[in-house]
Amino acid sequence: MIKLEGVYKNYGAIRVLEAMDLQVEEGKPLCLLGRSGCGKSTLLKLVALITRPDKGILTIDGKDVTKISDPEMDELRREKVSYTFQEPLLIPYITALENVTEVTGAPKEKAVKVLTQLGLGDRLNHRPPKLSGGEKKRVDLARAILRGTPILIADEPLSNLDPETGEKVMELLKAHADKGGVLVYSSVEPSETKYASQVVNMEKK
Amino acid sequence: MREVGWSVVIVGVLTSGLTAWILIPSIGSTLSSNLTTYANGVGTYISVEGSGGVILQSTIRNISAIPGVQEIYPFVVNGTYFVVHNFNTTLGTGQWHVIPLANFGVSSVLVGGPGGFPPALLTLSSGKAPGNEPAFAFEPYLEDSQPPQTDVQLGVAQEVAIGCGACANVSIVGSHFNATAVGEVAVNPLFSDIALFWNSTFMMNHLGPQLYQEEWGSNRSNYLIVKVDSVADVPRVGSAISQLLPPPFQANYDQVFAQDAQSFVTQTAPLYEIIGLISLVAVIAITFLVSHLVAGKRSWEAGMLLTQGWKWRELYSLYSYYFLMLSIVSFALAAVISVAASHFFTSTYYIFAEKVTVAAAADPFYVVTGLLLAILMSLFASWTVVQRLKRMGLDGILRAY
Repeated sequence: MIKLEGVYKNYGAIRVLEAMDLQVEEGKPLCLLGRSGCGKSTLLKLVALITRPDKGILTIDGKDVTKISDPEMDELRREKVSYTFQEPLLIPYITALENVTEVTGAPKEKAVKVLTQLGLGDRLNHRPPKLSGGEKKRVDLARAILRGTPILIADEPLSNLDPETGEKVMELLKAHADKGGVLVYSSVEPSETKYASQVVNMEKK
Repeated sequence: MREVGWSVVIVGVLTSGLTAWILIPSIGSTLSSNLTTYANGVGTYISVEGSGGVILQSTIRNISAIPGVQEIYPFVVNGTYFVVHNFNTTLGTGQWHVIPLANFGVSSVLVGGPGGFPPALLTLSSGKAPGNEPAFAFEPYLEDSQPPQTDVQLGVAQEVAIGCGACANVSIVGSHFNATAVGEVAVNPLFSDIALFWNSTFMMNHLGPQLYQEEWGSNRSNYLIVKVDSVADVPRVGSAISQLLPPPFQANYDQVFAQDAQSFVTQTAPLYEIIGLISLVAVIAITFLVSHLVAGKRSWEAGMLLTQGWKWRELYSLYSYYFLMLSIVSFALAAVISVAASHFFTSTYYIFAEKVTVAAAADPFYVVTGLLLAILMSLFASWTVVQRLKRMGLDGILRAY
């Protein structure tokens, strides 16, 4: 379970999050809804343990991450969190399949299975420059799914995807939550909140 | 991280740095080593000679008591005459005459035996040493391929000109016989005035024990070669010997060379090493700069890997592997370039007015340390990159994307 109490986050002089309270439970997907620049990605980075709050309390499974050291936070992130980027980060000089197996260490058979479920069965041996934006996004999602951590954070997972593919992606993400995992995702489209048990509407500060 | 363009730049910088590290100190080291070897072979010797006189045993004992004198080789130099029939000469008259029988004397020694020249100092440039046979080795100035020596007073084009395999009619201690030139000795300024080298066993058999003993076996040496501990001792020992010698004897050594050799070893060679070290430091700095540029430019890859569960240790291994591959390639290139380029570096020294050319070579010590440095540099570069990324933090790393 993830819990935020009175969390603040600034980037320089810009206050991105202010007195943020939030609770995410296992099996109950949460969607952060809001326009670009409202702080969705910052909040996702906080719960993904990529950055720390400036103020407030952030607990994951009861552990206050504001009070742990950097190595302890690294270890907690490794054990608990998978994260997919708004703009997928893929290594350009290896194939889509290698971007999954080499980066996550997942067995090739499992990687092929998940990539095929995401509609990339015929793109396994293509390098990222030959993939579309949506295809890259799905490779990134495949990595997060295959890591099998209890918490899965997805930054706008449905952007650049056609409705049919988006449906397949969300089925896989929902399956993670259905198995008792924590799922937090963001979106700019109100229609995409239908996969979530909770929705947090965010506005620009 | 593994962009080809940057990888080529890193290989180029590393190669030039490692080449500098291997080549520059190697030049200093091998030139110094060769010069020291030459100095110990020639520069640490002093020759003592006088025309016709005998060096007293007491003088030899006094010389051996001088500090820094390591060994004394006393021997007898006498004359061998080449007998030439129908010799053409102007005799200074401007008109050519034919002399039916002419004798031309040159200095000669026996190699080995009592009163003989020390065999250890005889080095041949071609042919073989004379054995128990009527044969001799000769000084290069008698070589028949040398430019003609003209004696204006005699109007002689060249008195004696021989080569290996040539046969000559000679006379020594009153004995006439035909002998063959079997070897040519290497240039050695210590005894360049000694023209012929005979085998002592042959000469004893040829002349008989009595005549041999009279000529060489009565401790009446007229030539000394003195071995000194080091080049640095030569001027002092040479000066001390000169003070002990009665006229017409004199001690010969090359003071200029002795000083040059000392100067090279103490000043020039360390300078090469300093230049090599400066090159290395410059290269390490450039390598880190380039590696930081690489890490900064594609730091998002490191960030992405960390979000996918990679540990810092694994990231360090990845960078180490990458830099190690580049370092090994750079080292291989540097070694090949150094070995090839070293042949172009030579130095010329004048020793006893003889020109000596010494070629450089890639020193194995610097080649091996070059490999170790390449490995250490790759590990250290990886460590600094990872430390830099740690300071940036995961959020900072990903913001670079």
